[in-house]
Amino acid sequence: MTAVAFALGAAISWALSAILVRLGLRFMPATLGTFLSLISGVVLMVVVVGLFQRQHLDEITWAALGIFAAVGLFNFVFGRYFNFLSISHLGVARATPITASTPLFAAILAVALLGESLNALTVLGTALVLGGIYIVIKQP
Amino acid sequence: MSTEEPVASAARTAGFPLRGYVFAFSAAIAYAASQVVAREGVRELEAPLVGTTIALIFATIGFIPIVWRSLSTPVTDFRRGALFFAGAGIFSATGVASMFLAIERAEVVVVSPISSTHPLFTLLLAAILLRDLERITIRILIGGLLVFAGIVLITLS
Repeated sequence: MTAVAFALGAAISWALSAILVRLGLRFMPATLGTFLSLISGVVLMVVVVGLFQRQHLDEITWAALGIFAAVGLFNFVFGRYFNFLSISHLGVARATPITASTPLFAAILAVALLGESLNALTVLGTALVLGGIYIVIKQP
Repeated sequence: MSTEEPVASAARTAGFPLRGYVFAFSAAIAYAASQVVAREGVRELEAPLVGTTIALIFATIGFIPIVWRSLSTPVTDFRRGALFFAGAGIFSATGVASMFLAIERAEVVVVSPISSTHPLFTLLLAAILLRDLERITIRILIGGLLVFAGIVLITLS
């Protein structure tokens, strides 16, 4: 039950984040907004880690630093910034179904780069995602 | 090519908004790439919240040259914009932390479908809170439901 609550909390938090971005874009361009959102995220996470995960700080290796620096580049510098730009151009209603298709591209990358295989569920899921995106894009 | 455009009060632009869709697909691909890289990161450091913090710190530093170049772009209301975007960053980080707390307590097959409902919550909240700014059509709703169903199947596969 607790896990369900946390998972639901994650979904609602991300939804609220997207709504706040849309509201913020009325007053500030996406570039500056992205930067401010990164700063607030850093502050919160540093506090959380400092309070609850300090014991793991000794486990940080140079390899981990490099890998998570790359994660930061992909997820926040490109991912979040392009997400905010898409909202500024399309609005949150049209941008969200497309940016939410991340698992589809993760599956494609996993197949192409990690040698993972497709199964019927992935193929069916891919078809549904593509169909949903097509409907959103084709709307007048 | 300019990346910045003022946001229209209604999310309708003349013609096909190709740039917007390019940005949206680019975001999805970038997020996917980060997930693939993060799998390696979790093997190296078994504390995902620490890893996320490291990623955020590097991203913030790496973003400085990008934001520096755009400082001349006009800001309508810095205080209000800053409040909204700071809130967006806090909720985004809260979502990540909640996700990891959920995964610690249950399997991905339980957690992922629930957390994947975020686009549906976004559309619901947009219909309620962004009535004056966004038009949530039946097509967008159906498209969002199909994407959600597809995400669940891909995640469970």
